[in-house]
Amino acid sequence: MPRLLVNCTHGREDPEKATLPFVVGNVAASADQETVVLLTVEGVWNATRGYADKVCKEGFQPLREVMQSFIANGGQIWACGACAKPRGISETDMVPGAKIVSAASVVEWLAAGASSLSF
Amino acid sequence: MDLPMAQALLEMKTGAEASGSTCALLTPAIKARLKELESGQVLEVRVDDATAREDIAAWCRLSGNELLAMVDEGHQGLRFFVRRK
Repeated sequence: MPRLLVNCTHGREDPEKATLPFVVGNVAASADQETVVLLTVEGVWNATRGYADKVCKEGFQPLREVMQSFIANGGQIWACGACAKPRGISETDMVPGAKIVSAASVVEWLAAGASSLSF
Repeated sequence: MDLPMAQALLEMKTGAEASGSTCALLTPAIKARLKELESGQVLEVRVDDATAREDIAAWCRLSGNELLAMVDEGHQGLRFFVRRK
């Protein structure tokens, strides 16, 4: 099965760039593509409980709803461990369906043939 | 043209100002609706966003579901007939 990795680098400071990776990811997951949204830099906040409730860009579905749909369609949310730690974010802060991963996991996913797209 | 017989209908009339939302919502909504059908059954999709023409065709190629027909009804929008794999 084809693999995709969509990188999300933004949170509330740029709701459009926070939401678009999940829009693309959700379309991919709904088309039965094995899809990961990788959260890095400020984007890691999106995977913390309650944070996405306040992220909404006009003209877009609220981030929380897009994330829930993405997970329901089989998508995975990975939060960069190196980005989460200095922000005080741990596994216990994660929303269901999200997990903190190491760089090696990301490299393994890409080396296995995943195509990537970054926002 | 004889159109396929559909067992279910999905209608997404959003207006041109919300075309971004159509892009985000349409194909996940098609997947959700198809899950309610048996393999081989047909879903009719009615939408007023012209970008759906490419979206649905690409989604069908990716997902393995079959786009049986597409009908352009002008101001009435587009109709698609998708058979569940």
